[in-house]
Amino acid sequence: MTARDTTMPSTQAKADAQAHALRSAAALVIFETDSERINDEHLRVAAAARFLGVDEAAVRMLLASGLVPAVDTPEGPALAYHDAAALGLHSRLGSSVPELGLSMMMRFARQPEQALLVPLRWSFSVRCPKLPGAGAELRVPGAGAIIVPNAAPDRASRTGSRTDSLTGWSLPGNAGEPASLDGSISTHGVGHRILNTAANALYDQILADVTSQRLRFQWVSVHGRRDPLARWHEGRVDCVCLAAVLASELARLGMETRIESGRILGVLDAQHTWVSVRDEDGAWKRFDPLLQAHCWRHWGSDQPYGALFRGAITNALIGWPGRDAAVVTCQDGRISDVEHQFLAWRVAKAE
Amino acid sequence: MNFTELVAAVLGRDISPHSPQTTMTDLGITSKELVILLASMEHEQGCVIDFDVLAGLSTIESFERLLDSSRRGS
Repeated sequence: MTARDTTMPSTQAKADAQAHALRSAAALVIFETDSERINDEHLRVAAAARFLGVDEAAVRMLLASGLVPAVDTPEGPALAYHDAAALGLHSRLGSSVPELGLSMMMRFARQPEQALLVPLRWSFSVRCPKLPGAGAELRVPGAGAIIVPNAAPDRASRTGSRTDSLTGWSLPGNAGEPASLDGSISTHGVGHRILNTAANALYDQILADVTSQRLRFQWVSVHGRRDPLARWHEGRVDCVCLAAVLASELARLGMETRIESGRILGVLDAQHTWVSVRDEDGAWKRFDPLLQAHCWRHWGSDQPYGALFRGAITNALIGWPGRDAAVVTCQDGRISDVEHQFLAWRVAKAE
Repeated sequence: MNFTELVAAVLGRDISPHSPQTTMTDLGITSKELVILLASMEHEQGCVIDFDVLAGLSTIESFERLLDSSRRGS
């Protein structure tokens, strides 16, 4: 028997095991609607295999099983990107980009609560590949974070008509060219806890639903996010859809709410959206059962990690008010997101 | 394997012309590519990079330092 012959059975066995895990995951996935799938990116076999961290043979077996909705492309069958992401998350293979990304993103939460509340100092760098004609600005973040640009650029409100309805810092540069802004961020946590009884019951319900898979955490495309309530009724949500639905639910309880969008500081620049609520003591508090569910997924419900997402602001997750991105432009009174990259790295614990 | 070699092997990119102070953003490496890169580093080193270390990474130099310290520790 040649060396090639001896390696084949183990390669085949590996692909079989991966295909089995993906077929099992398919039973848990709530797949995209046809409309979402048409508008989604399509991953052919090689790209899907790289994204899922499996052998191409495993993807071929999965597609042949008929358990997943394949997209016919001129080059052959493909998986919709967000269907593939959901398969990865439910597979528990540990090799897919969604699983690895979630695992790395959540590492910030695996610290004693006090470590997530102490003041920290970060450096940041925002890069915009193409500055819009109307200019762009980095918005002022919400509670728990103070941004200080290095070069003290004009506040956007002073830049004439370009972005005069905004209140952040203009990205210096010429329209159509790359632009950047560097500076520092001081962050601190606030150890709030939700007091309102009905809000706490809602938090517990969502935590239980996500943990038990009655409500599936899956990535949702921009197209799918246009109808968060529909996604909720289908039983699948991402952070954006869940925040929108929870804002409605909390409002029905008579509470004032606001959506916030932010990012976990660090090299990965993991973005996140949540709802904040004005509690009965008058304080605005983050209401984020999804992050606690992620903590339980990774470290178990018997560990203390994640409890502070029931109200607290943490020093590694900064937020901006509303659904808009951190970098926006304003034209004819209409604010829209600007494509950008945001890199932050910790430099010190503040004195 | 140093960081430049790792990036070439995992992402198929040549970052050797760039200075050590070049950030991942400057290199145009996306979050998803970083996830794959970090997972490869962890796989190669057989350890999990904790948040304290992740939070300080930004430049080629910082990644090289991380690889160096792992080698010294092993």
